[in-house]
Amino acid sequence: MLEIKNLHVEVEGQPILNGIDLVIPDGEVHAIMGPNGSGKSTLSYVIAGKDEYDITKGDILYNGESILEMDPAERVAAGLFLAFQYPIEIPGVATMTFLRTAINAVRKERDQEELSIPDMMKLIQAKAKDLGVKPEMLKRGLNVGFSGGEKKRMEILQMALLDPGMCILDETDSGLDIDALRIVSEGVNALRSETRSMLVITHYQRLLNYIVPDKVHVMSDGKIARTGGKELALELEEAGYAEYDDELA
Amino acid sequence: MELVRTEAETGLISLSEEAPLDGPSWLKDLQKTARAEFQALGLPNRRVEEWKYTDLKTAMKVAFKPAEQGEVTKTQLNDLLGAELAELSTYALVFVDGQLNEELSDLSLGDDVEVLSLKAALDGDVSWVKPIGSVQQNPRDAVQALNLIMMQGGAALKIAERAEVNKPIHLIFVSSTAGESSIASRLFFDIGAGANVEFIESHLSLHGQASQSNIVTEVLVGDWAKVRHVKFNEDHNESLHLSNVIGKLGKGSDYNLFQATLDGGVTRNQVEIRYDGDEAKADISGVALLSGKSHADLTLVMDHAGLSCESRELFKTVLDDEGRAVFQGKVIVQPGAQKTDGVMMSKALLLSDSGEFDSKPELEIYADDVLCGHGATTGQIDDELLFYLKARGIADADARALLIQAFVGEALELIENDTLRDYVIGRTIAWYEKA
Repeated sequence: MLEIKNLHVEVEGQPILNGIDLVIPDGEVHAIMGPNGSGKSTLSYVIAGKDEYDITKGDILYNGESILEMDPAERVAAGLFLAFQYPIEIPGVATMTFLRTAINAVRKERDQEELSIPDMMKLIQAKAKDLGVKPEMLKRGLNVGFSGGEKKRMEILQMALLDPGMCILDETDSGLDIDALRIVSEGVNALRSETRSMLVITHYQRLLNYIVPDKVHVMSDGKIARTGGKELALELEEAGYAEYDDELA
Repeated sequence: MELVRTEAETGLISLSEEAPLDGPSWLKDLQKTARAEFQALGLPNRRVEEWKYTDLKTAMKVAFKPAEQGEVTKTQLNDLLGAELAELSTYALVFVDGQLNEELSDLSLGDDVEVLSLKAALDGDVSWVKPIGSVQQNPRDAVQALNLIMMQGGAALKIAERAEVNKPIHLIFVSSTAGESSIASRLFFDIGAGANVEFIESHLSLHGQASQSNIVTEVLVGDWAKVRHVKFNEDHNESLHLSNVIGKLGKGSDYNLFQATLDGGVTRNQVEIRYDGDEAKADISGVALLSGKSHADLTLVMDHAGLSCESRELFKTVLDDEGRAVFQGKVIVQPGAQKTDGVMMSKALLLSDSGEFDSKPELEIYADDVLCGHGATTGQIDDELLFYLKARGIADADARALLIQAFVGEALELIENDTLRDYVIGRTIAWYEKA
């Protein structure tokens, strides 16, 4: 369970988040929607532990423990995972090497036995096949020369391999055509379970046709402005964000 | 001009005066000229343009005495090489304190490869060794001049035309002395037309002592020959290593030189390549990983005289602590050397605030139909990349190591021999795990 309590965040003295309260119980999928600049991506980075943000007030608890003092790698071992809106290209780091390093780093932190290279290869290849990640992509530099869809599938592959309890998907639908969106969504849906929660951040309702949320929150001006069921997403699709966006209103 | 001699210079001049110069007549005149040159030039210093960033006058406090011939056993040698290199199937040519050691070396290289110790090459009446001393043609280079006077060891190798040498030739230079010593060595490679050969060069020290080494390698690459040369240095942090590789490329030849420098005291890898024939290509690349106060200088001159020749240079430097790297790359395109294609790139990654990278690329182009470019970058580990790796559960130190590996990896990929590449990668990983 993820609990965000009265979270206030600044970047270089500028307030971005102004008191977020959010609880995501185990097994639930919540969506956060909102206009550009409302602080959605900032929230995802703060949960993942990016260090350019100043948390001035509030707390983030995961399974009852504050994660604010944990570094990003420790948060992953604890069970948090952020799928990036813009996955980073790292030339010179082979995708397979990266995946092996990440999986064993996380297993070690969780007191699980490290996987042997053959077992690791089997695991990665099987999950890659499910997500339509081609074997040659695993040999290339991480995300180098991947299409937008391939990068997002690689994110979901990493999510599947690191076995998180809490998945945060930051605009996973951006830059995807309809076929890629379906493949990525199927990958995400396959990971839904009673013990795993998800926070899906998106600007558009479209993604939520595929990944159907239990709850939808609307974020505006660094706060949760409204919370509802999945029908709230449809309403927003109709009416737009004008009500929540000072500049549009 | 007032000439103030440093202690090292005075020492070197008296050593050069004591040098017997008792070689063959075709060499003696070159040596006498070199002696006069060295006495006039003295040690290179920051007022000499080519040595602006590597002032030997300051770096070399005293001139170490030439090494006396010592002993190295087979077991000691294998320990020094380590398991990874011992695994590599090669023809080993072992030089103990500069001298070719017949017991430790594989001298049965087949009919296509002739190996002579430097002494045998100069004492015997062998015509193919006569280019020794004249492939080197830079009259103003004090270090090359000094080597010509002082050279006491090394070897000459002749590879027959169209020879396919089936294993790499590993040139292993071992310093055996327990005290400080100097060694001047010379290698001469005469590669026949159409031959294919791979050289590995490593410099090792039995007692981990500081040494001063001056090595000049002269290479004649025959038409359509293919040469791969990987040079690896991991010297003592007070050592001085001065290396010159001077090559002449025949028509259609293909020459690769990869130099890896890990720490050491002051290292200068100078490379001068002259493209005599048309359609020749050369790739001169390398990595330097420098911590402490290590200083490594890569100075190269790619002199294109032939038509449609290609040069590629990629250097990756990682600097920690007060490590300092110098890159000076000059591409010359002679009048008439049309269709030259030259790309030079040098990149440095700074891990500390006190590292320094000096880069001086130069293009001198006297032809109008050429494609030449150069680039240099200096940067730190990218925070966005680091965060991405950490957000995948990889701890900070491991994430940094992965990014350093990725940075140097682009250059290390150029080592074609898989086992050798893995060895060099292993050494680089050990370096940044320590850093």
